[in-house]
Amino acid sequence: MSEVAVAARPIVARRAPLSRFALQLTWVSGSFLLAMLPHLSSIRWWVALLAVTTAGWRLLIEIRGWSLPHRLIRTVIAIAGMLGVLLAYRTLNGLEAGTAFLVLMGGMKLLETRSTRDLTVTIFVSYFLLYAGFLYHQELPWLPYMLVTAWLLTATLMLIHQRSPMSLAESLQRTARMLIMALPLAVLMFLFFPRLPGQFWALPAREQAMTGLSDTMSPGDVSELSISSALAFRVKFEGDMPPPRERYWRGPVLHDFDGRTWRRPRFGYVERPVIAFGKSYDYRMVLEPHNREWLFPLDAVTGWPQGTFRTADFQLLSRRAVSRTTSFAMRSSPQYRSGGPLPKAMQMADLRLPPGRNPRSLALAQQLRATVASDTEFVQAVLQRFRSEEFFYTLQPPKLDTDSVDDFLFNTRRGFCEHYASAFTVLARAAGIPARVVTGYQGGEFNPMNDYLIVRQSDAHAWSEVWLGEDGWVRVDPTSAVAPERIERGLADAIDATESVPGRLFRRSTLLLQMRQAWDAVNTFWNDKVVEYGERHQRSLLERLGIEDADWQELGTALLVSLIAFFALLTGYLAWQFRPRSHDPLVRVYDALCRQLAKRGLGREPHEGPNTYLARVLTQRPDLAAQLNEILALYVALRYGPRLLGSQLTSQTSRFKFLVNQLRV
Amino acid sequence: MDSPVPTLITQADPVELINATVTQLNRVILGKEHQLRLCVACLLARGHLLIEDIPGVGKTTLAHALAETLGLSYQRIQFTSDLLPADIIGISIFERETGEFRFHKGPVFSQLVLADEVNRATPKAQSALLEAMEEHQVTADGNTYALAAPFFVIATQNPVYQIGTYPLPESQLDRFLMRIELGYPDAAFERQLLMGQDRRDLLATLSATLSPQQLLLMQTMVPGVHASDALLDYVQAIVRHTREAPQYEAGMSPRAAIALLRAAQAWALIHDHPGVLPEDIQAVLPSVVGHRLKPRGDAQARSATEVGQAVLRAVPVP
Repeated sequence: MSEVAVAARPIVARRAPLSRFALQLTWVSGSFLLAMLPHLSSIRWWVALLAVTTAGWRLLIEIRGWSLPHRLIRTVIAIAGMLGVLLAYRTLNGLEAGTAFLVLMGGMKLLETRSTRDLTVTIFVSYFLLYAGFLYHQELPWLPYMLVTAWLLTATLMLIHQRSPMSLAESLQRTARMLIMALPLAVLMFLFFPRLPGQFWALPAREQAMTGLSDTMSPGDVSELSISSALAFRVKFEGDMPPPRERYWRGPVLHDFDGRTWRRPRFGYVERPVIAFGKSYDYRMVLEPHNREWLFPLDAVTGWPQGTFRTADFQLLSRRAVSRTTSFAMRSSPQYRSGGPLPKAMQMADLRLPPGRNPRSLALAQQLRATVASDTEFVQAVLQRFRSEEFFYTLQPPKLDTDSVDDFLFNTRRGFCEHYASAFTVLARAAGIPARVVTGYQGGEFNPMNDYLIVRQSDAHAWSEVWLGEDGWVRVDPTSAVAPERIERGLADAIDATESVPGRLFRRSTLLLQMRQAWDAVNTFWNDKVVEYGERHQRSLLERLGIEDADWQELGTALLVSLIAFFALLTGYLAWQFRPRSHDPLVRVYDALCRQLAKRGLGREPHEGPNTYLARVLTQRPDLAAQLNEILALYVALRYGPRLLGSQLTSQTSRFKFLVNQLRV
Repeated sequence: MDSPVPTLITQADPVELINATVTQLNRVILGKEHQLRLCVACLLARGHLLIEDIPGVGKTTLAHALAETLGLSYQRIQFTSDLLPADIIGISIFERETGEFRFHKGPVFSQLVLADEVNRATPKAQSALLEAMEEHQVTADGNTYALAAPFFVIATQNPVYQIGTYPLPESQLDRFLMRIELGYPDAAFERQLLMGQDRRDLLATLSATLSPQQLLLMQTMVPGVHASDALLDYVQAIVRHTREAPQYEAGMSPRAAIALLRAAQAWALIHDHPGVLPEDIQAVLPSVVGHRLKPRGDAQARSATEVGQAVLRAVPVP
């Protein structure tokens, strides 16, 4: 009697061991919180806080032996939470609101948990929540987390349904075995579950700032972006790769200048032809999401996939913002000329300069233009000026005042590519040459492990294009005049050694570089083969299996057939695994002998011992006496005799096997 | 003990010795070699033998022949309804010369005791013998007297359906390692029997082929006969079958399982097997389980051989 009383009284000093239900509750709450973790970046903080609080509260209730909150309290909290979600997201539908709602309800469910059934419901909510995490995180590094959490959830599920207490380790071990057994099934489902073509599965674009080029460019923008070594896109060429100096990946083309900032106009121009000559390259670009519509084709793009279009200034735009990793097949010709005369409207736009800004630059340009005979010579003269005078290429340019070009050209003289591109374009426009700024990426790192060219944010670049009458638009990269290494070998070699540059570390250590490349190759594989696996891949897989032009019915059949095959194999394997058999090789040989004799109608009765059996056989087949007697003697000695020494055992066993194999009945 | 045969077992193979013994016994008990070998195996396994059969098939002759052949001291106790325990184990008699009681050892102090028609005596007399068999010693008037070694009891009994019998209870039956039936001789052997010498005269011609020392040594060899895992599996399968099958009132006890293994070990020893074979088990099983396993219902009347064969057929050799 006193035992019970003591246990019920809350004594702080003596910690009573947790009851079985409390332990289960701990694991379930923990699993729930782990499943919630992938959503932390997308749900509002108070939703997460509420979930953590309810889980903690519920645990305290269990440990301290308090009673569950009254039904009324729970209802009030639930309604308040629901209203909160409704107010914060303006909806209960949609990805983010839905997730938040799910987290909230999972937490609420914990508050009323009192039976195994409630725990089970929480576990299922957690499964759902965890897999909803894939809507946000399809990157490889998340995968281990998702898998381990799913494993833990399954183990917890097993734990709470065991009648006799079971340790978590044991439960983990068992579920691991189960999950591994289910793995082939998951692979089959992944490969053959019918997928619909098009963007049906596409996720709604999420409003989230992402690194990447924008449609404006102010001094410092590109150099800021260059600090990041985040992946911009990967490219795989079919055949040769263009040399580094031809690797200009064209992004937004900026026409409007306000004296400091370049902008991409909101309107487009009519399509302009591109006259390509020289070599063309086919390649596939796997673009990381940047929530903008432009792609970054190799300049100039001559072939593009459906759903994208080329603008008059040779940008390649997608009809939808790229909100998840997407791959595009493209063709480009680095040697090209833009055809036809420059339309008046474009000429006007690309000559426009903000009135009254950067006066010294304008004066310089006009003066320089007067000294040379042609526009081409003017371009050369300006580049020569950058080359010969004291201009520096740096990632940390000083701040510029309102008339940024003047300030840069005549005072600071230290700049990154956007400074040079901007200054050059202004000078060209001032000299009456139509010019524009092109932003994008230049270069890229080749990964020999999977033959992908990796282009990072640190490869971001800006350059100019000028209209030179006959020649059309000509690319002029003033950065190459100041720092030719940037174009040939990349940023890290072009920047002074005292400045910190992303990727320099990797250039110093081959091992680190290789590790980075390997990691990138793994990521590429993950993205190409798993995340990107869709209707097209499925189709080609089925074609390889001999099913041409599969529709969903055939896919369903293929799935069904493979499922049946899988279960048949599994059943077969289990039957084989648990077949009545002896692990003793001796017995297997003896059984083989019996089977061989059984084919001649001399099968062994189950209750017959070796002596009786072979004696019976010999009455039928006296011709086998010599062989069978030796076999019998060996078998009896090996099976029923005292244990033999190693070498003797081996020799006698092999003699026995030999004799049985030799026997021709 | 004055024995004409060499006492060192190493000078002769146990198998040969046993074969010689059995051959000699065969001269007296015609056509019963299997039963004779079972007797010897039972003796070697330090068990006691129960022979159940109708009178006149040679039970007493067998016991006598065994005693002669094995060179054992021999006593016969005829069990009758008025037999007292003292008639078996002995009695303390007051001696006038010394003025004290002296214990006069009964017939049970022989090496081979034939308890003839054991089920005709009262349970009281029966249990006196059976206790001596179990304990290998006798306690009288507070003194404990060890029995002879080797000590071997052959009890005969008439079939239970005969008149005037006190059937041995199951617990007492369990004391006997084996129960065998002699049965009628074959026609050919019966003919020889009719034509031949008187069995009693024949008995006088028998000489000992084994010394008690050799017998004791061989008895120590029996538990050492190798019983492999495979064979123990078989024994356990048999035991499990008798416990699980519905046709028996009770399965084999652990003691019965040990008895089965010991008997089979002795059988393997006298047949020169490298270890115990399933066949050894099969050879001794009907005699070992026949009196221990009680079939349910109508099947009671079945003979030990039939019961044993039923068990053996039901259990596959692993």
